[in-house]
Amino acid sequence: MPEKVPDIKIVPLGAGQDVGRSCILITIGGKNVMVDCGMHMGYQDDRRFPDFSYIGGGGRLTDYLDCVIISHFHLDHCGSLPHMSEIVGYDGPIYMTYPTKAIAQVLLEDYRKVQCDIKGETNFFTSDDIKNCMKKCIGCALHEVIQVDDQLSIRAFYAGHVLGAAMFEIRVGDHSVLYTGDYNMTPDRHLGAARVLPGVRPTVLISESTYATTIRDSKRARERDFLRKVHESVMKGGKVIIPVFALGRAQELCILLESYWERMALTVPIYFSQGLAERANQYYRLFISWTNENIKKTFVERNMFEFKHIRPMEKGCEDMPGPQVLFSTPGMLHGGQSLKVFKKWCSDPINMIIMPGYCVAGTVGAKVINGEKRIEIDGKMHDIRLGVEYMSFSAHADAKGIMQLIRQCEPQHVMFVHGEAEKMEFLKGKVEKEYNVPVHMPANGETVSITAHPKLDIQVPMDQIEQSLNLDPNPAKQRCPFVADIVYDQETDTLNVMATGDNESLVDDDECMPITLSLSEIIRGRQIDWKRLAKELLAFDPHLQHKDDGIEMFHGEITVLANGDDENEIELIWDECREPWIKLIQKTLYENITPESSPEPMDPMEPPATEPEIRVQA
Amino acid sequence: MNITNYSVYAHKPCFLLEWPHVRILIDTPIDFTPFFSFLPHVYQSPRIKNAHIVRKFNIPYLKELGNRYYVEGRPEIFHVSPDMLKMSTGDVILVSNYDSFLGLPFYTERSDFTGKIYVTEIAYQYGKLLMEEMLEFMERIEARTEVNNWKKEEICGKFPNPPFQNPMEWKPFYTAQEMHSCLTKVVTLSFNQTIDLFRIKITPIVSGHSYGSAYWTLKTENEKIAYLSASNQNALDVKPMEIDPLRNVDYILATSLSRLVDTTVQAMGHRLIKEISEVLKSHGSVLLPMCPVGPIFELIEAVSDLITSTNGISLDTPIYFISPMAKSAIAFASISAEWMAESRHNTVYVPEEPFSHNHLIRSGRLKIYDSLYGNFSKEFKTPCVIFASHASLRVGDAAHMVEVLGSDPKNAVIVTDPDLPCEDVREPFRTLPIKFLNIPMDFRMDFGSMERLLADVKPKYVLCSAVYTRPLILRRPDLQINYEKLWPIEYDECIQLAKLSRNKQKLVSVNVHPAVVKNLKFKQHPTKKVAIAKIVCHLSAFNDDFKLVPAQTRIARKKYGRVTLPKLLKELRNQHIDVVDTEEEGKDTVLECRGLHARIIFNEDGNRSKIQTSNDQSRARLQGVFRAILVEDDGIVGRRVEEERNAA
Repeated sequence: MPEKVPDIKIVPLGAGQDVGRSCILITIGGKNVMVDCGMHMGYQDDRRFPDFSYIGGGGRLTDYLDCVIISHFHLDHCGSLPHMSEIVGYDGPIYMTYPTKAIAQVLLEDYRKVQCDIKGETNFFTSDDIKNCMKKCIGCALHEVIQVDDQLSIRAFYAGHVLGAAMFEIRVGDHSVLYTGDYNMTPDRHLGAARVLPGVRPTVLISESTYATTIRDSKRARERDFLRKVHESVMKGGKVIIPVFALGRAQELCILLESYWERMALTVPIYFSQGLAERANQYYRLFISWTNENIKKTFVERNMFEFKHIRPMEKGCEDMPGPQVLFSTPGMLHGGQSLKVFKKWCSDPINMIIMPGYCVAGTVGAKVINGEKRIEIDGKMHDIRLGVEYMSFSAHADAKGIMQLIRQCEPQHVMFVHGEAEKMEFLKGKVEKEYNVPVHMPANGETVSITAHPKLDIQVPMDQIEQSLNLDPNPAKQRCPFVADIVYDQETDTLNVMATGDNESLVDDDECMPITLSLSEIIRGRQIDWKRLAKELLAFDPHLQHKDDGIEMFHGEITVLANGDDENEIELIWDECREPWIKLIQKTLYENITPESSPEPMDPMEPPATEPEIRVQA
Repeated sequence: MNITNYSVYAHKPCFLLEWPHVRILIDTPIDFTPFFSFLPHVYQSPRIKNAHIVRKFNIPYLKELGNRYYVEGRPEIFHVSPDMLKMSTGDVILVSNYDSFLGLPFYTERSDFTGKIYVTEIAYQYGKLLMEEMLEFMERIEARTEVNNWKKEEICGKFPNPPFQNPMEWKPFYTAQEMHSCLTKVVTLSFNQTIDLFRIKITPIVSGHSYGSAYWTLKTENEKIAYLSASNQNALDVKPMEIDPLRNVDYILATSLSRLVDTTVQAMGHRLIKEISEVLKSHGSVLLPMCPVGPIFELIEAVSDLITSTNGISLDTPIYFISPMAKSAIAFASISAEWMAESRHNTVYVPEEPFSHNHLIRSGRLKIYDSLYGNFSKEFKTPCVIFASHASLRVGDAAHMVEVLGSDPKNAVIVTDPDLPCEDVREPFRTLPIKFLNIPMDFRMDFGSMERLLADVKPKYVLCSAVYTRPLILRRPDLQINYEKLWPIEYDECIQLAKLSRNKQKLVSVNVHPAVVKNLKFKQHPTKKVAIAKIVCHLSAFNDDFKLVPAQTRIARKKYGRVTLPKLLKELRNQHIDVVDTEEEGKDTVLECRGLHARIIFNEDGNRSKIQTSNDQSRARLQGVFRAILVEDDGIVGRRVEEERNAA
């Protein structure tokens, strides 16, 4: 067969049975694409970067990779980008959505500052590296088909996880990979739900699986719970710290607290890390079209991100007496202000920390969530006495959401990344059982090779299609008999479809002639009104011909003839190919030649009522 | 495929593209020139409010002003008749820009249109603002109960300013309800987002004319067409036009060319700024009647820069933007950077808004009002620059502002709309001392650019309104579309694209199910270098998506061989079927199988046979008998083999 079925090869360099440092290498139709280029927050050495030396056998990345795609601005998805492009060296295109391009550089710069200015690290990418890296980034809109080269195209879909988060379809010819990045299948206060367009049918779906085993309790209940805990704590005079990333969940929780404070007429101050908060709002204001319908509809009249109760943090406010709520960055307590304040507050049991999102293993945040009572921070032991609440507000798809996406886009293969192995295992079983789709969950560095179903498109002449459609009386046209020759031309390496035998003259061979085999039955009626009959049958074939001796339909493939001299008998004759039509035509004939209220016509030959009786000749 | 031209004016295109299974209407233009037969709507103006009734007709709403007759009441517009377009059978409407979007409800709501409408996201948002603005303007004008008496030929024909069209064809503006109903049918797109519509791949591509404006490529298996709507290769603020997609098309349907002659929109822009500067320097005020979205965004900035940088213009000269949609327009301008030229777009990475509007509002230099009522009347001071709708000066706040500024010859109204003749716009205000300047800002491509573009992308054929194949001005062959293979289409003319193409055979791409592929058995042709496989399966055409799927019932194939009595009898015996009687009727042989209540009839040549029975099972059994003695077609059997081998 001339059809070539390309393998799709996928190897996670990060996020294979792991959360953090997302980086996946996809080879499809001879094209190499890197999706995401994240950083592992749990490591402080080179292990935080994906192992780029693995790629292309250690050659130049620009020579090997056709493009790089970043799904969203979280550092575990884009944190290594400047390292890869400027230090390892990559000059090809890097695609991301417009908001991701705008916000990623802010987060990268903030992170760099934490690493270099606070932790005093020297071997790290510089501000210039970030700037140069961003110059290589190309912004894209949702649903826009971006032609990377003649064969490779990519397309972004709304993922809902954070502002600008996108799933990406990577396509070469008939085969495609849909990489979800992080996504959320339920809309929240400021973002919509993830959505792929109908008709998107990836060969492989690579899905995150952070919450593979969770089916989160109802959103409202979670929100109530969150508000109650914050409220109780501040009523007791406690300080509440909520470590967040500047953009994303923070906005959602702010909207939530703001409306609660308004409703309950609370006066306890709420602070938000200065600078970042404002900048975050500036970005949200510019990218309203990437938020949810509700905000889009009302943004002219009121800005959801301008708050009455939430103020920028003042210098030293964490040392002020009395209750307060503080949103502080970064979200995993891996450095910066949130860690600084946490160290001050953690020993007082009246205080509380609410961890609203996932923390990468190894970070202080992860240790706090694990309930560790003594944590070493920067070489000093701290007693953790404050109340700890872990509430999952991270906008990831839960098991239900992941299943829903798989159902929607009917992939031939599913691959899980960005999750823990046991949780993936559980969901893998479920998907394989319910959808009968093979599921892969490679570890980092492990290559998965997928052989796609052969897909063959052939060019068929329109008249042949029409002919086939014409053979199926059912208006749905789902089972139109189709008979043709597929001719494979060995010289031109092309496939063509030809109507059976039309293009060649036949042999003059008495023993091998084309045979016309027709089928017929005699129908007896009470009275035959040929005109009326012709009119009724016109509905089936508008080109029918009413002739002296009967009616000819479908160019003679069906004929209705007077049966000899008997005025009350007709013969219905049809070609084998017209069998699907016969029941319909018979019915019309019965109805029209036997006036209503008459019993079912008796067949002149009195067919056996049940099984035909077969006499075996002795 | 057929193309019908419904463009009454070539610069306001409307084309219908028809395939056997789908009808696509592109663009839904409206013509505002009927507005010129109506009296300007103003809040106060003794001149207009006290205009006399035209005595000779004695119709209470026919007023005389400056020896011209005007209809007092809600003005009407002209659009292509939806009946003519048979909208009920239309599947899809493609809307190229917000100007065209404004006309949409006339086409979708006053017909039985039930299909979908595609438009880019931002053309939708801006177009919706234009709709809402016009509805608000209409709402401000008292409706008349009787509207059509004046339209009789014996009345309006006697006007000193008779309508230039038959006013019977004019229509009142749509209602808010019609607008909302229309908007529910809209699906918004990104640029380069391909939709697959009944096997036609349709893509909107950046045309560079206005924010969100698109031209379209439509690709089927057999033809690739580009519908070139209003486009501009020299856009500065709008996202620049993409040319490459035009290189892969066979046909370009060229529409919407610039109406500027021997000048450019850039030159117009410079002149506009210069004139504004002159008026302000002489302490006059400038009124710019224009729509609240689009070029106004840049113009506000440019005017602000002018005020800042020009000696002799007071720094505190206010800029007023008056429109019920002003606030929304400014808000949308600040969130649509993605649809703008790179220089504007890149501001989001700072992050800043693409325009300085909000900055100007905060610093008090730009003031926006939703109408002339309320704060505006208190805060209004001259000299100033006023942006207000509507460009026709018949509805909206702009008309009233002409009356306010009209008595001072230092003041100026600058008419920039390229589709509204300045003299017509001015007519009811002719007697006022205020200056009227005509600086049409036409961003559409001119003939010269079109010629260079076509020479560059080299389509097989260019189609266009017949108007464009005749010079715009006599003896100016450069003011027409020139191309070697050019096909003009007259108004209401339908052309068949197939007549242009040599490739008569229409091919359709059909997907073959893996199971069908697996079952294909190729046989080597004995003489030719080809392999043939018989494909016997079902074709599914559900949702116009053609697929070959495994057959679930037996499908009849052609049979080869020869039917003879001995062969038949032998096989019937093998299958234990009892033949009772054999007789000859003329040249035919008849076998009676009474047990099956069936008869077999075949001819003496042995190539025609008939199974006659009304019992389905009997029929199936006898068909089995024939299959056993005949060969079913495999693509090779029965073909001429020997001869060719000899010939070779």
